[in-house]
This record gives sequence, C-alpha cells and structure tokens, in this order.
Amino acid sequence: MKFAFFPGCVSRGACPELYTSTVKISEILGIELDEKALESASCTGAGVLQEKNQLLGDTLNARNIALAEKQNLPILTICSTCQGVMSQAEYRLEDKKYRAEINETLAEEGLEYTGKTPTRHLLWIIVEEIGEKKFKSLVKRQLEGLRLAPFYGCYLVRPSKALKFYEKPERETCLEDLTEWVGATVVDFPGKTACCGFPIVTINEKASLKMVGNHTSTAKDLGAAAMVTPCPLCHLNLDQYQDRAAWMMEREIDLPIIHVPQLVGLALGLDPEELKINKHVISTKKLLSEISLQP
Amino acid sequence: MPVISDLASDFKPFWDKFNAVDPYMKPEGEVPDGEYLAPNDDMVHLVGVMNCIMCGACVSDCTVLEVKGNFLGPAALAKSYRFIADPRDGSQFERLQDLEKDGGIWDCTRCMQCVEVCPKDVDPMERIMAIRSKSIENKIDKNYGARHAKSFTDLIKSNGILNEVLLILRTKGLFNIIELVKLLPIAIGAQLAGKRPPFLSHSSKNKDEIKKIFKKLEDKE
Repeated sequence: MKFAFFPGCVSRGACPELYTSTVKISEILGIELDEKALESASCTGAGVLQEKNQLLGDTLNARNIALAEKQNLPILTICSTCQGVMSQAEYRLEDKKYRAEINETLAEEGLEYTGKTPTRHLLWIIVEEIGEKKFKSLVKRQLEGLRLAPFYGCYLVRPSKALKFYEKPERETCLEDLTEWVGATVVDFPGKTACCGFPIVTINEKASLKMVGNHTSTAKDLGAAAMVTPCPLCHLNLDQYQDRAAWMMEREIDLPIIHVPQLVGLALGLDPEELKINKHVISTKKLLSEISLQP
Repeated sequence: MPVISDLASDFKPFWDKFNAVDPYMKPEGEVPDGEYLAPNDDMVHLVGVMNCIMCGACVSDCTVLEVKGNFLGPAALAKSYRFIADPRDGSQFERLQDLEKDGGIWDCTRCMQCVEVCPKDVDPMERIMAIRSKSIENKIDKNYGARHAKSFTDLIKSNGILNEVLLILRTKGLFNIIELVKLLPIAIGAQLAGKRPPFLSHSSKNKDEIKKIFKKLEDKE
C-alpha cells in the first residue's frame, strides 16, 4: 500500500512525536509513505482560511490532491483537521461546475483534480484497509487492562455527509474498534466527539480551558489511564493546556494524551522511546508502568 | 437549553438570544411607495438561512454554549446573518460591530455540531463564518479572532505551510507583553517536553504557485 504522505503542519511543528511514530508503525503495517509527492503542497487551511475565502481554501486542497493524483497515489493524512478539511473540499468538488471552475485555476500549473482516490486518515486506513484480522496478527503486545478514552476531534466526525459515514459506517466507531483490537478497554464518555477547544485557545482561553478540563476530568473520573486521539490539534490543547485547566478547576487531572500511531506502535511491540511517547507535557510514566513498560 | 420534562425544554434562553440580535429588518433611507425591493439572487442566497424553523436543536447541542453561557449561539447568529446579507437592511455595520463583542461570532469553535443536527440544512456555522468574513471586510478586525484568521491566511500565502510560532505572536501582537507573558508557562512546558515548534517552519517547495493562486482568488467571494 503506497500513499502520498500529507503530514500536516503540526506533525512537523509542535508534535514531532506524531511524525516519528507514524513513520515507525507504517514500516510494520506495510504502508509505504511517499513524502516527495506532496513536497509542493500547502496547508489545508484548517478551516481558518476557509472562514475568509472558501473558494481559495478548496482550490488549495484540490491542488494538493491533484499533486498526489499526478503520481497516481491516494493521500494519507494523520490529522483529523487536515482530513476533515480535505473531505469537505472533496465533497464540494463533487459539483461539476465548481470542480471545473477550480480546475481552470489548477490548469495553469498543469494539474487537474479528478477526485478518483479520496483522501484518508491513517486511522481509517488501518480499520478499513488493513482490517481487524491482519492488524491483530501484527500485534505483539496486548495492552490488556489498559483503560483508554477515545477523542476523535470534530473534523473526523462532522459533517458526516462529507466524511461519507453513510458509505463507511465503521468510521463512526473506528477509534473504539482500534482500541479494542490492541487489547485495551474503551472508556466511553460523552465528550469523545465534542470540541477540544483548540480553535479558540488564542481567542477565548477561558472557554477553551473549560472544554479541556471537562473532557479530561470526565475521562479520568471514569477510570481512563490515558486518552487517545487521531488529531494533533486536540492533542496539543488537551496535553499542553491540561495543567492550566486543572488549576482553573481546582483539581488534579493528570491524564496523558497519546496519538493513535503511538498506541498502535506500543501494540506492535515498538519501544516507547522510538515512539517518542516521553515527548508529552503530561507525563506518560504512570501509563507505561501500567502496561509494564518502564519509561 | 434547560430541560423542563421529557421532550420539553425551556426556550427562554433561546428567545432571549434570538431577540438580542434584533431579528427584524432595519431599512434606511426614504420609505418607498411600494415594497422594499431586493435583487432575486440576494434573496435566493438567503433562502437557506430563512428555512430555520427555530427548533433549537443547534442551540441544545452547541459545544460552546456548554462552557460559555453568554455565547449568542448558532440560531441567533444565523438569524443575524439573514439581515446582514439582506440588501434592504441598513444596519449591517452596526450589526457587525455588535457581533464582534464577547459572546459573538469569534466564540464559535467551528465544531460543526450545529451543521450536523440542523434538520433544515440551515448550516448555521457557515453563516457565522460568513459574518466573520464580512466583519474583516469591513475592517472590524481589532480582535484576536480576526487577527488569527488574517495572520493564518498571510502565513500560508507567504510560506505555503503554517508557522505556529508566528501565528501565535501575530494573533496576540508582538508588543502585547501581558498576553505573551501569560503564554510563557505553556511555551516553557512545550520546550521542556521537546515540543516547541521551530521558529523557522517547513515551507512548501513551490511557494510561487501557491502565491499565484492567492493572487488570483484572494479577492473573490
């Protein structure tokens, strides 16, 4: 399985551990990541650029996808936000008139968007492409007894029309499924599909911190040893701002927030340091000792 | 919204917020002899938002309202857009100024919950984004939300890929010492964990093509 790798801005910025762990697990899962195919790509706009100009945002995403299409490769993302924004662009580009308008701009660079191969998140590829049977055969370390709270990130759950939930209903529960495949126990909680607060952290920090505090404390109180997320932006807010949220709530939370590839890597038998699981603000030491892996 | 009993919730907060955006036409100039006329295309554009049946589903499920009671919420903001985008209304600028304040458009997290639950495809979040866009167009942009959107766009335009450090600095303001000091503990925590984003971020290999697209489309919409 070969993909045009779209690492997103954050995995090359504030979350380098996501990039490293993705590369490590891909080797074992038989996923070939072509990094050159999208060297000329741009940021997806993360929904922020689209606030100002949706046509511009959709054109940039169509260009990114067209660059991969030129190499006959589908795109693999590792960020809920990148994935959601690209899925939304793909959904709007199903309109032939709109697609023609955008392709007119892309033609100036010798590119064309066809939409033949939809962009997919690594989590979806593991669940849909590799599947339970093959994945379980690769698991070397059962994470039995580990209680994990899932946290999807808005862009991987809404709008369900653009994310094609009606065609791929397994996407609604893919994070819980993967958690079970690695032998861990799912700690279900109402905030798992809610907003982490990241988009307003620089605008309205107090409201953002309340979201962080509510989600992490609820999961903690339900017995979660960690939270797992396919979104690096959720990770950043829930990890880096958790202490401040705990201080605001006048309580202790101390809930590690791990990336999906780190969870998969642990199950595949990789060393925690290889997955850079120590590179988090909220310490993962206790979590690793729970699964008998000293940091 | 507060639950009164099974299948009945208290709509008072919904209507209070709805009324707070002056949900009626405020025409200006001389009163015409007949009706106030509007171009057909403008009204077709507003059909979607006028489909709102005020069921309150978006307000009940809004993730911001869970943590911030004074947020006007998706239904009221969508209704406000209905008048902001109506060419017959004469108070667009005043409406935009009101919505810039705390509790207004910049509190939305773009979580799309309102889009998902709306039974009439009103797409409240897109209306909030459209108000943001109009607000920036009208230079009502001396707030963190507008500065964030503008800085984000400028950084993608110049580099293709986001520079997270510059985004924060430009949003908060390079000389906004108090706000920057407040961020210091977060920055130190990230530094200690080895997660501080680089000052010089990666950039796209073909920035010129990205700039060309910006040049062509920046002023469209």
